[in-house]
Amino acid sequence: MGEFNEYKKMLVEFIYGEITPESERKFLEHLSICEECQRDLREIREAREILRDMEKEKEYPPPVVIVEGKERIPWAAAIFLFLFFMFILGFKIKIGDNQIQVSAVESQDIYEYLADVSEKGINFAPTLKDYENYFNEINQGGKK
Amino acid sequence: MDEKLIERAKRGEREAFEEIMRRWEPKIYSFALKHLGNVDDAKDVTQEVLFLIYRKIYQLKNTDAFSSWVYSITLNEIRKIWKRREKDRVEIRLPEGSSERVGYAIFALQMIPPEHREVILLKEIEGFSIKEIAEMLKIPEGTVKSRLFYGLKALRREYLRLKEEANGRIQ
Repeated sequence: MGEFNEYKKMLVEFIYGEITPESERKFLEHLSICEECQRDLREIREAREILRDMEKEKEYPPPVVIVEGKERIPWAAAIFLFLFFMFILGFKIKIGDNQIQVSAVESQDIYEYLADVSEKGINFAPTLKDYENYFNEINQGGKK
Repeated sequence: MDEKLIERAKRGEREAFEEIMRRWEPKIYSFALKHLGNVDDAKDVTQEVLFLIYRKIYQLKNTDAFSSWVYSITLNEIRKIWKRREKDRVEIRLPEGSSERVGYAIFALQMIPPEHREVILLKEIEGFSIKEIAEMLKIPEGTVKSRLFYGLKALRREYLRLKEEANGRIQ
């Protein structure tokens, strides 16, 4: 990449008609003998032509962006959906040979049970031991 | 832009703001789409910018600068999306239904550095002067000129590369 010198600066001003008459005269004089500037001018005009084509076709459909490799996964949405389905369909907890199905309604029972047996109230995170105790009570014909 | 309309919107007149939205929504969308090459991101940016205009228009002191103010807000929102994208290594597929030349042009625009793309679109599409762009982006005029120079050259290079690659695939 060549140095962005005085003539390249003038070239940009010239292209956009933002050049002073004095600079324009100086630039055109230089342009007539400088092959590099002639090439730069030609390339920049071609680039502008590409952009003009884009503007002519206003109603183009937008491009589709894809991510290299795997598609982007909306993790927050995925986690939300997983928890939502867990809540609706329920989930199984296996403790030893015992297995309990916990659904939205059942989990409410568990929390009520936990509230009964614990002074902590219902706003604490139950442990597997809590579930085990709950399950044992069910088997012994206790709460449910 | 009609100064009276902006003044009315600043005073909170709903109709004036709706008129501004009607005029600016397609401009912001088109600008964002060329920057981002993605319809969903462009829509998000448009919504956010319109919301910001609504919320902050009363802070605008110089109504003459409304246009550059809107583009500055839009560029900020576009940069946020680009920042997010760097991690994801985005690739762009050519749009279906549009001409090949336009597809390559949009693709090539995404391939050049964002700071070059910003000045190119502000100059070539929105028609701001070099001085206005420098003020808007808070950079020296010389930097605007060098970004235009190298950006346009890079755009042409990318455009030709894409065309060559596509011809190679077809042959």
